[in-house]
Amino acid sequence: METVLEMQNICKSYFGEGGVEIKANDNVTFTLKSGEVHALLGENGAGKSTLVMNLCREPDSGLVTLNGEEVELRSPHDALEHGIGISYQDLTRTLVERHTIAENILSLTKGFLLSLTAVENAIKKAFIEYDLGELDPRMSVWKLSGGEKQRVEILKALITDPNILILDEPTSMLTPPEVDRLFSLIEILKKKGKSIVIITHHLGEAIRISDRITVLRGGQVVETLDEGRVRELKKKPVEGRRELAQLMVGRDVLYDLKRKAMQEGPMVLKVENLCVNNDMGVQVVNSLGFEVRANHILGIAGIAGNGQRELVEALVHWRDVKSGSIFLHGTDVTNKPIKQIRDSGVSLIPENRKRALILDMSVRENLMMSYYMDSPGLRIDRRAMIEKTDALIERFSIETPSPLAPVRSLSGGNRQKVIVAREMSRQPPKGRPLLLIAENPTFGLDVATTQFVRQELLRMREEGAAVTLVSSDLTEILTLSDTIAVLYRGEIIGVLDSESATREEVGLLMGGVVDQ
Amino acid sequence: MKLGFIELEMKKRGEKPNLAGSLVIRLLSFVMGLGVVAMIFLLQGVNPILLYLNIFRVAFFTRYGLAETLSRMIPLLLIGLGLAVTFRAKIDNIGAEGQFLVGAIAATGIAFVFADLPSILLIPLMFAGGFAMGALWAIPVAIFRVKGEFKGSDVVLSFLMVFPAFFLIQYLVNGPWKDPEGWGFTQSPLFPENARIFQIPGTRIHLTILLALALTFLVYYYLVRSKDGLPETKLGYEIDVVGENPEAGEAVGINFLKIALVTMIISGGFAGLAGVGEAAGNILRLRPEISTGLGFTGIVVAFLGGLNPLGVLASSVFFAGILAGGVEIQIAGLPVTVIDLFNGAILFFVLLAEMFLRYRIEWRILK
Repeated sequence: METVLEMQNICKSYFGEGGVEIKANDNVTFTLKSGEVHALLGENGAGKSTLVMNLCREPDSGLVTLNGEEVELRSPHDALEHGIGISYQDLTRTLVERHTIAENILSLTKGFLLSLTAVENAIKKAFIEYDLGELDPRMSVWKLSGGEKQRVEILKALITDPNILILDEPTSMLTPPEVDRLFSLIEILKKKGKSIVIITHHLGEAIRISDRITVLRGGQVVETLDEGRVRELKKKPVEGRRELAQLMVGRDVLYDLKRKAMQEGPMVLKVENLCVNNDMGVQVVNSLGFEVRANHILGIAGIAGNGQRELVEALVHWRDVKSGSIFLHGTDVTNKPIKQIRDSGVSLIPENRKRALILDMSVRENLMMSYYMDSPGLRIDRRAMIEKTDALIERFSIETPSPLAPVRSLSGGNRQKVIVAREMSRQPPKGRPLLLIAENPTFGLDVATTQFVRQELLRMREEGAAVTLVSSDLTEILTLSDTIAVLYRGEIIGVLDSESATREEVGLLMGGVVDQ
Repeated sequence: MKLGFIELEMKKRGEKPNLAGSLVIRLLSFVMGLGVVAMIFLLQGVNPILLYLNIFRVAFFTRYGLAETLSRMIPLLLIGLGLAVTFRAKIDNIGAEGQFLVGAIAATGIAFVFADLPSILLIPLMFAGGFAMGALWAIPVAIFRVKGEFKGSDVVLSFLMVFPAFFLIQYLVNGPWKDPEGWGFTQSPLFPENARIFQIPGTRIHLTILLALALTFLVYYYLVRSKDGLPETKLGYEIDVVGENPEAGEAVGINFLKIALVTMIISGGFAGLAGVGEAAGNILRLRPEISTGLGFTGIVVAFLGGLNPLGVLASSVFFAGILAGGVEIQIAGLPVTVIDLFNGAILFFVLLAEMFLRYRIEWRILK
C-alpha cells in the first residue's frame, strides 16, 4: 500500500504557566497508508491531538507530505482543500451552539451564493448515506445531546468527501450501539479506499478497529505496531490490551517520597450511589461509591474526561447531584450550600486555577479569601490578616515581589502555591479532620513545585487530614495514595491497594480493561 | 491582527498601571472623546474650542452657572455613586433611570398622604420611601443576574424596568395625582410647604447635597478604600471578589446572590434618593420630564469616576457642569440634545480606557 500522508520530525511546543516549555510533539514521525485505519493511542497530554492539529496549522518544525508532495497547511481551510476532513475533539469549540446543524455545516461549503435548503437536503441525504441516524438539519445544536453533537461533528468532516479522515476521540460521547455504527461506517469508508486516523485512549477500541497503531507518550512516538502485530493483538485481545497499556504508560521511576505507615482515622467522606450530569445533561458519574478516612489518601485515577471534573464539582456542590448522597462526618451534605460544606472543613484545590484565584487581586487578598470571615463583626481585622498572609507566604515560600503584587504577575508554580497555601492551612471545626480534595494539583508545574506540592499532600495526611486526590498522572497516584480507585466512564472499575498495585495494572484499568 | 505591514497584538497587562498611569490613560481617552464631539461641532460650523471654553466658563465661573452646576450635581452624584457599587461587582444596572423615577413617585405619594406631618419627620420619611422604592425596583435585576434560566440578563431587564416606571408617572399625573389647577398640564400639584427640602436662597441647591456627600464618603470609607492592600469591611472585599471572579468567590462560600442583592439595593436605593431630592428639592412637583436622562448620564459618571466614590464626585461635578453650561450649546445654535451626544461619546471612550487599563497593544513591523 502506498503512503498518502507523511509527517516527518514534527515538533510543536507550548508555553505553560510561568513560561515552562511543554514539548507537545517532540520529533514525531507518522505515516498514513492509503486505505488503512491507523489508531493514535496515548494518555492525556501524550500529544495525539497536537499531532493531527499540525495538519491545520503549521508545526514549529518538520515536514508534511501528501501523496509524496510537500505541503504547507496553514489553516483548517487549507486542510479541507487538500482533502483532509477533521472531526475535532472539543465540540464546544467546533460547533456553534446557537446555530442549526445546517448552519454549522454550511461553514464548510464552497461558493459565494448558497441556498440553505440545498445544504439541508444534502445533510439529510448524508445522514442516511453514512447511517449516522436521522437528525433534523434545522435543529439548533444546543438542543442536541452529546452523542448527537458528536455525530454532527463527524458528518461535518465526512460531508466534503475527504480522502483522509481524522477522527479525534470520536467515541467519547457515543453510546455503545452508536460506537458500533460508527465502526461499521469506518469499515465501509475503508473499503472505499479512504485513509482514516482515529485518536483514542481506549485500548479495546484501538485494537478492534485499526490496521496499525502508533503509541505516543510525552510527545514522542513510543512504537508503531504494524499490520502483523495488530492482527496478533486482535487474536488475543486480553494480552493485546496489556501490551498496549504497558506501551502507553511506560515505566517512569517513582519519585522518592516516603509515605509513613499510618493508622487510618475516622471516616470523613462517604459517597453513596452518586450520579452526576455533565454540562450537556449526560450522566457522566454513574452510581459512584467510596469512603475517605482521616490519615488516608484516596487516589482516584483515570484518564481525564471520565467524570473526574463532575465528581469533584458535585462533592462541593459546584454542580448539582442528580441522585445519591454525600456524607461528611456522618452528616448528609448532598446539594447543601457550598458555604456550609466548606465550613464543615473541606478544602479544595481545583484543576482549573482560574476558578480558585483572582488574578487581578493581590497575593494577600487571594490568600485571605478563606480566612477573612474569621474577623469578628462586619470589619476585616487588618492586622490579623496581614500576619496570617505573611506567615503563609513565608511558610510556603511563595516567590512574590510583595504581598500586594497581583497574582497575575506570579509564575504558574507560585500561583499554585498560593492556592495550596490557602487551602492546606484552613482549620476545620474543632475535633474534626480536614477533608482536602485535590484535582490534578501538580498539572503543568515544574519539577520542584510538583515535588513540593506532593510533599505537602503527604504532610496533610500525617497531620490527620483525609485527602481525595483526583489525578490522571499515574506516577502521582502511585506515589501518594494509600488506596487507588480507578475511574472509567463514570464508574469505579477497580480498587487497588497501593502497596501491591503495579503501574501496568492501573494503566489497564484506566484503559477500561478489567481482568477476569 | 495583521494590517498591511504591521502586526498588532493585544496582551493582557501583568500588573495594573499605577495611579498616575491610569489617570493618564483615562484623561487621554476623555480628551479623545471631546475631540470626536469637536469634529461634529466643526461640521456644524461651530468653533469647538470656543464652545468648550464657554461651557466651562458659564458652568464654573458665573454665579448662576455655578449654583446650577451644584444643583445638577446632586442627582448625578447619588446615581453615579450607587451605580459604581454595582459596577464594581460586575452587575450591569443600566436602569437607574427607572429607580430614580420610582423614588420620585414615592416622595410624591408620601408628601401628599402625610401632608400634615412636620418637615422634620416628613422629609426623612420621604427619603426612606424613595430608597425603598428604588431598591424594590432594582431587586429583580439582581435575581435575574444570578438565578434561573435568564441568568445574566441584567442589562436587558434593568433597562426594560425603566419603562413601567415612566408610564406609572404618566398615569399618576394624568389620573389620580393630576393637579386640578394645572390648566391641563400633566403634573402633580406643588408639594406642600413642609414636604419641600430646604434650598439655599436664590439657588436651586437643596440640602440633599449634604446627604449625597455624606454617602460618598461612607461608601468610599467602608466599601472601596483599601489600606495595606486590604479593604475596611468584609462586604467591600466580597464585592471586589465577586466583581473579579464570582466562581472563585463562590468556591470560598461568598454568595453571589447576596452580593448582587446588596449592591443592587444600594444602587437602586441611591437612585431613589436622587429621585426624592429632585422632586422635593428642585422641581417641587411630579412630572414625567423630571429626569431628563439623569439615570443614563449616571452610568457615564460612574465609569469616568473609575468606579471610585471620590472619582465619581469629580466626574459628577464635571457632567453637571456640562448640563448647566448646556445653555451655551443652544446659544451656539445647536439643539440641546447635543448633550446626549456628548455623554455617549465620552462613555464610549471611557469604556475604551477601561480596556487599555487591562490590555496593552504590542506591534511589530512585518518583514
